[in-house]
Amino acid sequence: MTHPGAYCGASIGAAAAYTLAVLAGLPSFYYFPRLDAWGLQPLADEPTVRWYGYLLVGLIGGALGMLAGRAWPRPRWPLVWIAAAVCMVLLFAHEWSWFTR
Amino acid sequence: MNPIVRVTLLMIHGLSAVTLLGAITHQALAVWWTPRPPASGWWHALRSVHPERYASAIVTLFVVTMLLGTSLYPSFRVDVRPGLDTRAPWGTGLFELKEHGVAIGLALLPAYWCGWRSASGRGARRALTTFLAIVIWWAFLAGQIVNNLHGL
Repeated sequence: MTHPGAYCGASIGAAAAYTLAVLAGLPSFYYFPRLDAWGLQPLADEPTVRWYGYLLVGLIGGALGMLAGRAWPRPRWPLVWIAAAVCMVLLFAHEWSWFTR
Repeated sequence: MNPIVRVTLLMIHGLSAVTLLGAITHQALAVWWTPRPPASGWWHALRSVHPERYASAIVTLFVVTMLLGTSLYPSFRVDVRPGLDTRAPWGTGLFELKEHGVAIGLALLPAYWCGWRSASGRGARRALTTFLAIVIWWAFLAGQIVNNLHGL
């Protein structure tokens, strides 16, 4: 397998970009399931799916991470699961308010 | 979405998730407790698999299960989420964490797959497989709880 570092880079980039998107509310496109329509702005009183936007940002992060990872001489395996674990902790903290209402 | 289509998709999503759960559990057990040949019995049989043969199937099942879940997300958002938000907000939180876990699991797949396809070493395989197993078990249990609170 050529460039295993690229696979590690893709994983780290995707996890980091997804987490940043959630924490910073990054995606600027939304899906409105009742209208079956996409938009660049949220609509008042309209259920909105933002998760697809987060996934798209994660996908872009994965592609960039893959490019960066190709330059690594060795794959950085521990960095992958440590980055994923840190992302999960941050995401858990972000959603914590749901459990205290 | 047509209710029959929705229920059918939900059933396939569930079956796919159970298959994925079984595969990752076998692989995780095999990678942590490699069986010794003379042993016998249920515990021995459970982990007596070739874990490297599971990697591609797990990646495929993960993506299929996730895509099925993604197709059901709009129905959840419209029909389930409003009720959860008012009656059981912790259920919404659980579902949000499930989706985050699935997204991070999806991000992990390239490294996981490469780890099993290249000479990554036992430590990397153990770590990536364990992380993915935790994510899959978490998503499965959270999904069951939320569905019991308010099904589609």
